Amino acid sequence: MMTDTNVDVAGTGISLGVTLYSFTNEWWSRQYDLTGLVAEVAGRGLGPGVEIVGFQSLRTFPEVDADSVSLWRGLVDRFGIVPTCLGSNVDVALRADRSLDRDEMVDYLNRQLDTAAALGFPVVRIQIGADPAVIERCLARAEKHGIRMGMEIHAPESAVSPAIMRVREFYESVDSPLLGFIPDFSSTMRRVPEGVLADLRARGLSEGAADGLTQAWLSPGNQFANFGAWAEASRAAGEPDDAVGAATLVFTMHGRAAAETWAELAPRIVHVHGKCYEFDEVGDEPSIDYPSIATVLVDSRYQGWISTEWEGHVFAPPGTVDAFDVVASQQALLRRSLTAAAG
Amino acid sequence: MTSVTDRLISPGDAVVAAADRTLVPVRVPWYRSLPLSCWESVAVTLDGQRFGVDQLELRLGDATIPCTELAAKHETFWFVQDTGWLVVPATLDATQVELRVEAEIRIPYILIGPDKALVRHVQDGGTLPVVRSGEQ
Repeated sequence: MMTDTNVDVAGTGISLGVTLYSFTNEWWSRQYDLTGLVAEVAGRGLGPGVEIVGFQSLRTFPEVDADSVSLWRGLVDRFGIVPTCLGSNVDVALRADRSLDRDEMVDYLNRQLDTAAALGFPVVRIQIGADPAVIERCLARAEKHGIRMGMEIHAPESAVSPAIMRVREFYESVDSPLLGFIPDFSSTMRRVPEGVLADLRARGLSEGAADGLTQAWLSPGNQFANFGAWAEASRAAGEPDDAVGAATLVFTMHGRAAAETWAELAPRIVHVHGKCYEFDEVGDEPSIDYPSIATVLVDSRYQGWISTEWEGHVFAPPGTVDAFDVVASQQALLRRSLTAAAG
Repeated sequence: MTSVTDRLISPGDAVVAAADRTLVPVRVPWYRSLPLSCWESVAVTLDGQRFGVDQLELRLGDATIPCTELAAKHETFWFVQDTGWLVVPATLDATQVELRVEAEIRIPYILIGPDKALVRHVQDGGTLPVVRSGEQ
């Protein structure tokens, strides 16, 4: 294995790995099956931590059959990877006729916890669609398996947004070591990724409107109100509907909270999503302040995994970017940032 | 060039012309598998002739399902790497066809209001080759 440098980076207790979600383009394009993808990740030294999204990587999810369990466990042994986190989904709007009720959500999540246990994942990512009542009722299953449930904090939520504050209060009241958070760097960004803006320009958005969008994103106040005002003005100015509609993602995928807010959660962080989009010529990520985030994680003594999560598939079509190279760049930046923070 | 979340058709795929119908290859325009109930609508246009949801069937694996019944299929997942086939009641004689596929896809975990999930309108198409099938 070439992944030793990703384990316990600079003595911080933080180790690196990747979510297979980073390879969405290659996966959707059927360039790899699960064995091939894990082999490539291991061969390029992008582990040892490996995270998956159940509904992406596993055909029979939320269930797994014995053959799938045997295949996965065989990959873990053969390639020396470490299963870190399984991404569950709380598909509240699964049905066309109505939302799932709490009983159905509990059952849906419990089935995914069972699958995580069968595959050897110690952490399951849960999403904001699971309210405290659902989480509380799933806790018994998590305890049975010894699995930690981590609520992902993803843009537009942040460590201090009202919905997450409600979860924090609930966690305090239950105080179980199996309940925690998964910060995603997308919540604490400093710039809209250039690839996202380039995609909007390709949809016909003018330079002026793109600048206005960036300004709206950087402005204080309610982000959805900022977007609404920009969208209304842009449509009135004749900007293409498709481009204005697609720009919604700027506000749902990229948040501007301060990196320091992660420190408040530190004792309850069970896993981390190291989001990235693009790298400049010196290997920095212009849209995310990696050194600041690394400092917060090291100073607050987070011990655990960070999964590299490249989300460029939303603007970069298959074949245009080598996702494995991007992941390698992110891990190099993270190692530099963690080492500097530890020094 | 289109990102995968805006693609309903795999580059290089061909339309299949059978004796009494046409099969259009379709993909899930998202990063993960979704249940069939998330396909809120679908339409196919072949050389300018449009076929709506009540005229189409979806063939996925061994199953063939009228598209009007997809809404009830919330326990059947369409694996993100699989091609499904929209069965269109039309015959094609040419070696290529001008194809357009449109769909409304509900993203079941992205909530944008109380009891309201994000619905994405996706359209894809182009000139595709037509291959003949001997199937009936």
